[in-house]
Amino acid sequence: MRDSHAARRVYKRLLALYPKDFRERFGRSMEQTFADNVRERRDRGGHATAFLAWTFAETSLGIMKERARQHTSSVLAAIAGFVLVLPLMTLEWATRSNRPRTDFAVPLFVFLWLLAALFIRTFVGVVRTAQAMLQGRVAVLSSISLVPRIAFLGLIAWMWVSWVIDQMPCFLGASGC
Amino acid sequence: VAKEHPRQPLTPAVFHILLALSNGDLHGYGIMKQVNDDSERRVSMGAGTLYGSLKRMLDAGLVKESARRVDPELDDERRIYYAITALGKKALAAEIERLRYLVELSRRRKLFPRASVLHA
Repeated sequence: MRDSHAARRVYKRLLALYPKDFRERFGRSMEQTFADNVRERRDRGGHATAFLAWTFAETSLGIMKERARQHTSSVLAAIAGFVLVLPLMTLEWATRSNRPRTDFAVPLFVFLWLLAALFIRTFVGVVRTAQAMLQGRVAVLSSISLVPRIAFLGLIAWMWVSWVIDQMPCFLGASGC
Repeated sequence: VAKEHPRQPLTPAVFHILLALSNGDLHGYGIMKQVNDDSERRVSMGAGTLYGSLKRMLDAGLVKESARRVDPELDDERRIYYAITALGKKALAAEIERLRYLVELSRRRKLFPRASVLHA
């Protein structure tokens, strides 16, 4: 009995390694399922060692997969952000001979790139939450979190567009930039 | 006769979960047991695979959380039950059709020893 309590405690700690949203959504159910499996093994009177080793390994693999998936969307957002900034960088590079100063505005492009990536990452999150809300998978209270996120999206878009408009003469090779 | 090919194949985990839920609403542990029974103990699904698949299936609208909460045997209100949706039933039917087509094809090509003996 004491062993099964210890196993549950260790398993709970293992579940803490899942990404936050996954843990909040399925953590308790996974704990419950683990407890059910442990009880079933105990009632059958068999050895639980192999089962525990397999469960811990399988769950660890699941954690790695979920973590990798989480990073995949960030990487895709970073790539999409770069694609958005690429035409501006090309313009700046193509018109560099028109300016007396030839240094490339690296900080500006890094800033525009990060801003675009942040917009895309946030936008995807908003779309997913909205879909979940429309399908009734998210409580109305949770959907309220959409409001500040949409406002944040608007702010990022406004900053990005304002910056691009402001810097456009420089991208086009105007002198004095 | 050219057959209409169903869309993207389902992963084995998703297929087994849909198959298990086609029998009625189940909680996580119930799904594991049902998958084990359905596959005659050939498939053992761990919690990592089960809940990872359930997350994607919920997001895709193949399953939904059921209003049912209490297992009469286990009597625990914390359990979340899952139910197959109309889209999930459609995806399951399409996958069964895809598998049926492949079995038929294998039979026609006599790659299925038992069947070829039976149909000889």
